[in-house]
Amino acid sequence: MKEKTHVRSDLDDLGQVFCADVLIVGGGPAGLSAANRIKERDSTIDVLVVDKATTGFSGGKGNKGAGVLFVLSEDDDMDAFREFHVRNIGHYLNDQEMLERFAGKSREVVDQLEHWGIHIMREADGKLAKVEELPLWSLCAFDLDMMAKLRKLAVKNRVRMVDKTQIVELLTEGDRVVGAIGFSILDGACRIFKAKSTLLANGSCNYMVTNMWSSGRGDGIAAAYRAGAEMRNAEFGNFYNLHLRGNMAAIVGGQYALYNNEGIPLAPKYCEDFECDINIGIILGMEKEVMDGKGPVRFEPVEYFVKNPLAAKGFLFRWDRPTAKKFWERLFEKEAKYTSDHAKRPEVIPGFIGELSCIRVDHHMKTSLRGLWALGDTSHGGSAWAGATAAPPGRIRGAALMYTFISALLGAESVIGDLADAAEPVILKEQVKWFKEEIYGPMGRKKGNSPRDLIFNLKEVVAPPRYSARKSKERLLEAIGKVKEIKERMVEVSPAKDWHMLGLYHDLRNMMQCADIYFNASLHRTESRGWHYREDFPDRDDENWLKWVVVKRKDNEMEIATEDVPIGRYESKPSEPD
Amino acid sequence: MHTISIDMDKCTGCKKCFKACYVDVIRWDEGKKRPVVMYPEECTTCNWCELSCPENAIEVIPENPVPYPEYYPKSIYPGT
Repeated sequence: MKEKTHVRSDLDDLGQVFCADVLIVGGGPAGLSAANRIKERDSTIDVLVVDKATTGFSGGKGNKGAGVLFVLSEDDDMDAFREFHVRNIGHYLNDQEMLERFAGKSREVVDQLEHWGIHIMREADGKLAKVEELPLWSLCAFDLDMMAKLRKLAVKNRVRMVDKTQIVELLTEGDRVVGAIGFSILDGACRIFKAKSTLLANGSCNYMVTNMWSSGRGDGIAAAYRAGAEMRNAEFGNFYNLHLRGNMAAIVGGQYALYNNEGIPLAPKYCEDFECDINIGIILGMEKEVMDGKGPVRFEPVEYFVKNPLAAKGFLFRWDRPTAKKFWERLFEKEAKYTSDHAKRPEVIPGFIGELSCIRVDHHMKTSLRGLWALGDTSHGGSAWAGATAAPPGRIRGAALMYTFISALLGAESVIGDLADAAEPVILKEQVKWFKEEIYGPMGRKKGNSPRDLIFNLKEVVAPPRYSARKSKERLLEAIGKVKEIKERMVEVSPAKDWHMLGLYHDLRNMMQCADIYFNASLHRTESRGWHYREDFPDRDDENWLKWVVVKRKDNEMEIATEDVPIGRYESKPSEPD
Repeated sequence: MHTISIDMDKCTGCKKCFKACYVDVIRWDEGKKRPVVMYPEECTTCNWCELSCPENAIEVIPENPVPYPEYYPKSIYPGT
């Protein structure tokens, strides 16, 4: 942390105070892109990034993913893309205007990244790459040193950074967000951030179930909810991928290489002839095979490249990407060396990732609260561009990062526009005191359970397919009840005077809040659509459910409402013949 | 639990592993100017600490299978 960022203030007796024009919570790709964009547009704007880890090293997708970006290139057809997406992926729950904004702005992102010195891999003729099996859009590959470059640029742009700081709550003045409060995970120091504009860019909620994505713990989503922001499409926060039980390796696109214990392939029963990415059908199918006594489900490695769009023709490995090569080769090497399943056909499990990303934003990334924007994985689902799918990744690989960058650029422009008229923020001392009691309260408990134990209990509720894939009223109520039980047991948790453990305590609290939102939204949608499957309402119901489920906190209670999708003004309509 | 092994004879105290760890597994000992593996329970085996180390002083050794919620418990799925 750079101590020079700490200023004197009348709040000094309550903690270290940091003031800025713009506070960005999260130093991953969304946060750093927004910071750089703002500073390049107006270098006099004071931008401060606060991160739970180290700015430029955090997050998952920027430096630990496949390194691909969805792009609608100049050769691609917007109408065809929209029609395909709305019909097959979003199932008419898209904000189609946002979808077009998303796709249309994607080329600007490529230009922006190249302007920032990030090498976008192109074909020999300079065009963006295409995968034959995915004819409606293009894919860009980049190297996994992108985050290091964004950080370096941010340092050059004089973006201030406060690291190793866990933000817990948003500070408000009426219905306006005026900053945030959290603590140093290293020494527990209370940190108070005061800003005219606050941008959340600290990721989705993944409940720490699978290894690689376990940094997304819903901190921003839960804080925004507690501050009164609206959530949307939370019922689709149930992304599953396929994982090998023996080493937790993700087998992206492996759904066409799965077999039951009788040696029968699963794909013909549970997958469409070709899928642009995994769908909920195979997760439901795997569970059905097990219920019918035909488990465990196994993976045939030699068939991994069958109908696998991303692996097709070696797309991921055809580019010269030294950092990605080093990262992936080391990962594969470890997975092979340390697997516990040496069977010819290893066991496959449904790996629950979650990716709850439900903060509602408008087309400028503004949340329903004044002074608060939500970028990247905090609002991917809540933006509704992707509709009735678990977004990110939203059944299009590379769409998550593209949304991240687009939201950063849109958010940055919006923030700059609003700053000129933004009043000086006022932080209420009483609110800070109240939040401090809430944040540090558990440290007073001398004995108690470890937060890790309750986190595992929470995983046991969100991860099993019977709760998060094959939903029903009975099981959702059971899940909500289990979350409530965990909440009641929170008083038994002690961080054992350890700041890391206090961080885990708040992670647990946030993940629990996210689970509660997710299960309640799922209970409310009494139909099946896209990634949301209700066993008790197995059909899509366009007559009653062309609606978004909107969740918010009001008077300390969860308020759930529906809002009609304005399908009448959109181009793609369900009445059109298939 | 995963193991993160640091060869202190090779470590030069560059702090890159401390910065690279995004889940607070590795802390920094200001006195000794060396990293400390403090919370391996949260390790995600991303290997970035290992890859970031210019001296090849770090090895991440995954433990498999990792504890995972019972996705098909026998009490509910008798056929398993």
